[in-house]
Amino acid sequence: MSEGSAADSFRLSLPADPKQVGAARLFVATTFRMLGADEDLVADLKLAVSEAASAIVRAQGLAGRILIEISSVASGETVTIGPLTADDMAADDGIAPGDVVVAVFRDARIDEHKHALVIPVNRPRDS
Amino acid sequence: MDILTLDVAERSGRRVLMANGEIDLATAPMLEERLEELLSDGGVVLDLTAVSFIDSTGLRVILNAHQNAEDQAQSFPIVAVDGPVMRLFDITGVGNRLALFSSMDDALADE
Repeated sequence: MSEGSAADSFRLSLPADPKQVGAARLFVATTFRMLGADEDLVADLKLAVSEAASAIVRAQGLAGRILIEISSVASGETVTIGPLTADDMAADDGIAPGDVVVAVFRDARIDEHKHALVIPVNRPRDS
Repeated sequence: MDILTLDVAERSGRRVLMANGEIDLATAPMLEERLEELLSDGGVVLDLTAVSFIDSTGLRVILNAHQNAEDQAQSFPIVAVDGPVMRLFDITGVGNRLALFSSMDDALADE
């Protein structure tokens, strides 16, 4: 966090149900539109969050939760989504969800301490 | 909330499956079931022009259908235009493995 700046934080917790993957995308898209993101970035965020939320549902089953946090500071936003491990984002039969995420957000990574996927979002700012 | 609709139409003697909406973990099984049905009954053209979102779960269904069609010596033309579908095909590099067309007329001409 930059000196003296307070982070805005947006959080959502959803049941780990396939039907909630769309709600995870909607949350991220709505929040980033509110923060002024353009539609290309919103489309990439929806894809990355869909990959991560789907991996959570597969790994956790219906008893689990999809936890999403978007933190916004002057230098940019970070999307954190979990609980996830690197194994959860690996390929089961060809296309790895983790590869799709990294294709659109090169700096995205699994944070083993947070047990989550962390996506730093860099975008042009108005000021 | 039903975020994907699937309709079948007959065009130039071929069946076309038109997908409209979002293809993800919740809706991909619907698409998979319809494609299996249609591929086992003479083949299908898949129209993705009205798909507003797709992720790798949906892509996996399409790749499996493509493989099934190949195994049955059938063509499996797919109509897709610039947008989320082509973006996913591009970043995953699978576009060149599929029979992609930018118009329905071109797809219907595919044998």
